[in-house]
Amino acid sequence: MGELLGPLRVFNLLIIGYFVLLNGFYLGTTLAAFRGLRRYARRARALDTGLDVWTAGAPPITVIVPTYEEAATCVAVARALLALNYPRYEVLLVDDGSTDGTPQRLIEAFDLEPAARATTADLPSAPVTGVYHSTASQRLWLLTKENGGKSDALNAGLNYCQTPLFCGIDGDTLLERDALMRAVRPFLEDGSTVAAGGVVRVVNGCRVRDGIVEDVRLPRSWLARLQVVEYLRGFLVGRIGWDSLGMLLIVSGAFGLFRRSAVVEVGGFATTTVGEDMELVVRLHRRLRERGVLYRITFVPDPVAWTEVPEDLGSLRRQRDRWQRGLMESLWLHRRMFGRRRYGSIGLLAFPYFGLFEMLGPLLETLGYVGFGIALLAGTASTAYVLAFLALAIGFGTALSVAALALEELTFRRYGRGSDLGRLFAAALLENMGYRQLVTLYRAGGIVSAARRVRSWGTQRRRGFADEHGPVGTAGGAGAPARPD
Amino acid sequence: MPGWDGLLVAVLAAAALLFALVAAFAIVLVALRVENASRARRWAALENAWRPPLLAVLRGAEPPHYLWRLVPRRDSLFFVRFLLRYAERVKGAERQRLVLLARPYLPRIAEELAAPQPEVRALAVRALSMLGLDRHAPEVIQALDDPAPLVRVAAAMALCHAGEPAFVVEVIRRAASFEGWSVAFVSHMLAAGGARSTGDLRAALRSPRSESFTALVAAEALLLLRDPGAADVAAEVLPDASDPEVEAAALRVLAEVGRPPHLALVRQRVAASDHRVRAQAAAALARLGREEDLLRLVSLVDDPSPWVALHAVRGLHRTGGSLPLRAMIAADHPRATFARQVLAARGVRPRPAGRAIRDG
Repeated sequence: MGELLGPLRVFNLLIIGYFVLLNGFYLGTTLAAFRGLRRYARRARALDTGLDVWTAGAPPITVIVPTYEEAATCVAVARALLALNYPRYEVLLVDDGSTDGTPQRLIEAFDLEPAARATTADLPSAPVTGVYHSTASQRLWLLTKENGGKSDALNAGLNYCQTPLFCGIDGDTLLERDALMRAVRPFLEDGSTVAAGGVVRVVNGCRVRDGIVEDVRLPRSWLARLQVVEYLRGFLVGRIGWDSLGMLLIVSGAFGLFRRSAVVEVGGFATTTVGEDMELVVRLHRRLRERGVLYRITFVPDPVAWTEVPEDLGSLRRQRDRWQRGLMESLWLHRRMFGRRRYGSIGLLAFPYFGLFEMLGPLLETLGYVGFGIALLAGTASTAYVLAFLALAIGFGTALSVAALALEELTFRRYGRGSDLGRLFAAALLENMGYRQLVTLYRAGGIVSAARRVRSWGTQRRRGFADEHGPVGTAGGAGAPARPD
Repeated sequence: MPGWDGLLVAVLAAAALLFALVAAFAIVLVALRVENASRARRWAALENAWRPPLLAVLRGAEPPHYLWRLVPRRDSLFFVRFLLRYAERVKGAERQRLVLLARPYLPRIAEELAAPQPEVRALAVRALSMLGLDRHAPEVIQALDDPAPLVRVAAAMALCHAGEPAFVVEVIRRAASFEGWSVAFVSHMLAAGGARSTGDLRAALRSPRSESFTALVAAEALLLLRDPGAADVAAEVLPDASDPEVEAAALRVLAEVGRPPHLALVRQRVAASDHRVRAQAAAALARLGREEDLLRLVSLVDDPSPWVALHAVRGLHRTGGSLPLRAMIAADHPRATFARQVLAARGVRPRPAGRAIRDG
């Protein structure tokens, strides 16, 4: 045992060092996010002339929605998408070979008829079996195709996209009415913008009517509440922070606005990874930098999409496993960017961070907790070590979660009720006392799954969110929920 | 192991520092939130107190003093922002009374033009332009040369929406400083100045000193205004245009307001190397072309670019009616789907219908 104590001590010290670096990065992105949000709020006040004036000349957008086994929700989601507040847009639903009658539901509900639609690209995809246009609503189109997965469906949609911009969302995502108006602003302010992400929030517990979130409430389950805090930290702090530093590596598949020509030129969405959203953005960074093209990928904290999060541990585990695999696949596919000056801050800073802390981090953390446990049991843990570990592994994370809440309160304040705020605060305190460690374990499992080349999406058991016109939500469904970081 | 313990203490110190920083940050944020909430409550109370007298003043039932006496000095900036919200909604005599209400506070707003934060300067520009452009036009025009793009755009939007040609020409002169912003955004902004600015826009398009971006947004703005006089200017610019985007914009102008004498220029660009130029040449040919141009349009249907093909198909329909498109469909042309789409968009049902149509 004595021979092990020396290496164990070294290992524990390295883990402490890892936590110091990790939390240093978190602190940096949190401060950057704070600065970014304040500037954004001041900027919005300065140009608050009304969205319709500001977005005069806004380019037309195609909202591409891959759907699979969404018979219970598809009509409500489509109806909500047709009510968006934006001057010129189309909704292009792409049914990826559903067997539950999803296309039939849509055809009946919206008087869809076979129609012709010219293709503008030829990205590889599974065969398209039908093209339909609604006679009831000119904005609505439906493609039916053979099953090929979400990326494949997106690529099929891209082939039929005839607008300069497209918005990719999940089949069960709810967009706020002004979401497109807000998301398009970076494209107006800077013609070199190729992608812009928006905030994804947790719809569990909210009151939904006709596909619109009318009343924002916290979920009843503590598992979902903990994810609310996690999403706030991931989007308000993480994405805004990285965007402020000019190193955004991901635009969520649940809600992202892209320049069609840029995505088609780099080959569309990758079908060989479960993290197609991150992989596309990394590939855009890589290809555009290699070509020396001036470009911008950014995040807009205003436009909101709502999505359902898992409320059982099995679904949560499968989701986090898949996210970790997607992250690793995306980084591995573009590993040549790692540490290379040619790719600027993306290669020199973002990649090393994601590689070391997001990719390998869950494994290191898990081993760190094991090492901590052994040190305690062996009686070799000094007071300094115990305090340092607790402060870094738990205390620091708690403070960051509270900071994320405070940022939310400072800016958007979606949870207006005092009781909800109190519960969120409690969730922020509890998050690092078990939940975060559990998620770390799940992510470590994702590393193992990636090493075993697991490819499945898994399923999320959905409770559905209450709609005053009937339940909206279904079991199954393999759309990709948002990933906060 | 004293060395290790020393190292551990150092790491612990770093951890403690980080923890303290984050905790302090979280406390600051919470304090800010509390302060903001308190301020928001105060402002809500002030707005509730101001609203009825404001409406009375706007109706002309009360003089401005009726409201001014309720505005604490320290809240003068907030009062102006309050009035700004109404400035977008009222017109005519009410608007004039609103401007009168804001007048004593505008010098204080003008001081904000020297603020270090661009957002503060931009808000000041907006307030001065909406509530006091008659007296503060020079400051707003000067803001067009601000180092911050946000301030320049705030000034440009305000001046263009004021609708006075003398203001719009100031924006046109500096159009190149908005390069980077989307062409559609800038051209819509210029077009908001209205038809009285078409002369200045034409001059900007025509001038050999204009940068490409200026020519481009001027052309697009003229297109939005459907200015008939723009056609001759576009025809002048086309032969020497080196930027494909400017060429395409000039062709778009001709597609909208061009005349038969411009046809030769359009025909020359059907074989341009840039697909954007070819696409707009197809659109212009559709409007200006004669019977002999049908063959040119047919050749463009086979263009490698789908955008060129789509414009050509639309052009064929415009010049030759449904017949050429039905012929494409009957012959199962590789681009037959384009023909079906164009016919469907124009309410013409191609035969056969009633089954899913495969990608063509």
